[in-house]
Amino acid sequence: MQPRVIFITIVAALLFAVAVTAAIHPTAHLSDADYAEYSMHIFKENHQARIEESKMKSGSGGDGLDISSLHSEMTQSCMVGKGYQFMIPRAYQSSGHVDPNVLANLRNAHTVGFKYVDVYFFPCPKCSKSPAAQVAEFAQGLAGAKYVCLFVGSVFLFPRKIILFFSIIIILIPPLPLSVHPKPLTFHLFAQVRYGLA
Amino acid sequence: MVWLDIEGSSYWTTPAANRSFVEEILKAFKAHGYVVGLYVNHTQWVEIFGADYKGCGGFPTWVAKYSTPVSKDCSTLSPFGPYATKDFNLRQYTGTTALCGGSVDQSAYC
Repeated sequence: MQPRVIFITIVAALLFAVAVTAAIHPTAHLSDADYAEYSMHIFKENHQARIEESKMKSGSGGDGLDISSLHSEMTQSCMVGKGYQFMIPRAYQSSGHVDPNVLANLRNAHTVGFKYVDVYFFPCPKCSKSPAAQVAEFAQGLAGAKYVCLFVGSVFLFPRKIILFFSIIIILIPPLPLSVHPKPLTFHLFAQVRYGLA
Repeated sequence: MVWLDIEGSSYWTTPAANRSFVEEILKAFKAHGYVVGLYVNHTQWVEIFGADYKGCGGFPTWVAKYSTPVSKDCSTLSPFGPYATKDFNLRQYTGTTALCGGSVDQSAYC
């Protein structure tokens, strides 16, 4: 194999690794202020439909609920029947542990037809576990959790993966002229990749 | 998305330590790539962080405010911390309410 081919292959592999890393952790490269703005952007994009629907309905219709104990399919089904649209089970509790009921609550919420599902995280400031350790524990506990989408951005879907792949490379390489305005580009792309966000 | 629950001052420590704690939690969420919002309320924000804390703003904001009679209106809520009244996105308007044999808090979009 010619040295040039080997060189290009190595560079391409490195770039791909960088892109995959960035796609798995799409916010890691943002500043704190941009991270807040990114979260707000995704929230507005993805919650717009439910906000409008919620506002159109009167009474309890269109509103939502949060829970901190196990709620069965039968209980949650009754809630959907009363017009509640979204469910936010507790995922991490103030004692510093993943809520043992969160996966069952998420499954039940999905099964009975809640349209939108998020989770909430009650941290433990007095615990000896560091903030990072608590979030890591949460991430592990929710890894592979179905029916809730905690983040967006992935290179694993076609054709958006191609766009995201190249854009992330552009964003991550400062010398490229396109990177002088990374934020709108990033936001635009995240807006495009909003599949599956609950 | 993940809502970071900031409430219950008895679970927290000093304002200085609490500020640093919540900023570290947000950093960790960022490192994991999560879309994050903050669940807050006026009274406990002041107790936990101090009235002068303007940090952690800009995220989607879910504010707890119960009233009698029950109101879902966000336009009457007072500003606090980094938030102006227009910054609230979701209002939790009841807490610990019996519903369908379960126990829930109820919320509506602002």
